[in-house]
Amino acid sequence: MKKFKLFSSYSAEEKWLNEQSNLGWKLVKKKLFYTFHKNTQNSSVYAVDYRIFKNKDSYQDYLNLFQDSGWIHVAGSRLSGEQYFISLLNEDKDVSIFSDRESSQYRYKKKMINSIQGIGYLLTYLVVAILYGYFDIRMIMEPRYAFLTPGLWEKSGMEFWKAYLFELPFALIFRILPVILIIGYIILMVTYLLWAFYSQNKERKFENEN
Amino acid sequence: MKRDKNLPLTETVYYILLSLFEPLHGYMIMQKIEDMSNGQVRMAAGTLYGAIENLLKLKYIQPVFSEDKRRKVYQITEKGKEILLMDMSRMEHMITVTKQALEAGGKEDEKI
Repeated sequence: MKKFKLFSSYSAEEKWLNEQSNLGWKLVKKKLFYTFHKNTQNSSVYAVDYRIFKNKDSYQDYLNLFQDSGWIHVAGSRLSGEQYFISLLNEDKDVSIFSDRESSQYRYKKKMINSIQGIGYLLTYLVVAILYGYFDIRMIMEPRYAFLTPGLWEKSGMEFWKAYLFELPFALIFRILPVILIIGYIILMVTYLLWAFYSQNKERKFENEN
Repeated sequence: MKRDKNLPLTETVYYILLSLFEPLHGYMIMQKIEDMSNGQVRMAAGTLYGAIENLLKLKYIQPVFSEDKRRKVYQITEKGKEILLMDMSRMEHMITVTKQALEAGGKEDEKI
């Protein structure tokens, strides 16, 4: 079963995953969609951590620490950020991967830091690429700047269409697509940043009330 | 004298540093802390991982050679021992002044 869902916080996500587990669905993959398999075992407790790892060894060490203390990694990868665990201690519903509030809150801060870094890298790349003339930024407003054939737009009739269609694939793949991808990625990172900021405040407020 | 900005240490940080007088990997740190604190301090995996990362950054602990390639092993550094001792004297001082206050308070009770 595949499902798409967005959550306002990690605790809301964990709660939903626990509910799915009670219905007999076990999470096996999380990319854009949550992938579940039918599961006959007892219901389990889910926990979501956020972390990106510099190398394989650190990631392995992290997974082993969790496994040693009773948490099986079910979804996530070295660079995915969100890491999904299920607890092997089925009888204890109060079990958590965090033993204090700060470290639980720190998930959001890390996501914010990583998003800001990502935005920084992409903007730097974009600015350098524009300065070196690799992208003509005017093409965002006027796509004709993505075409480099000299005098293309002064041509007419058959001559124009021939030159235009000849260059079109190159313009799309090498000039327009990269700009769309980079800008799309920046928008995604800004969304992540705003989400983490909003969720952190929401969860902090919730915890203070309780 | 200006106090180190990392003082006072939290209870968990204090116990992590104390447990690392001998080289240990993550899960062994958790077990030793639970032991040393008579089961009072039970650290969860995510919290411990973050704390280790932070202590490495502060250079209070360092990775040491590990037979087990899949689990990193850490040990306290000189800098780590220094901060631990500073925190110990801070707590000793608190205990001393507390005892003094209790004694003085006790005497006043007698007068009444």
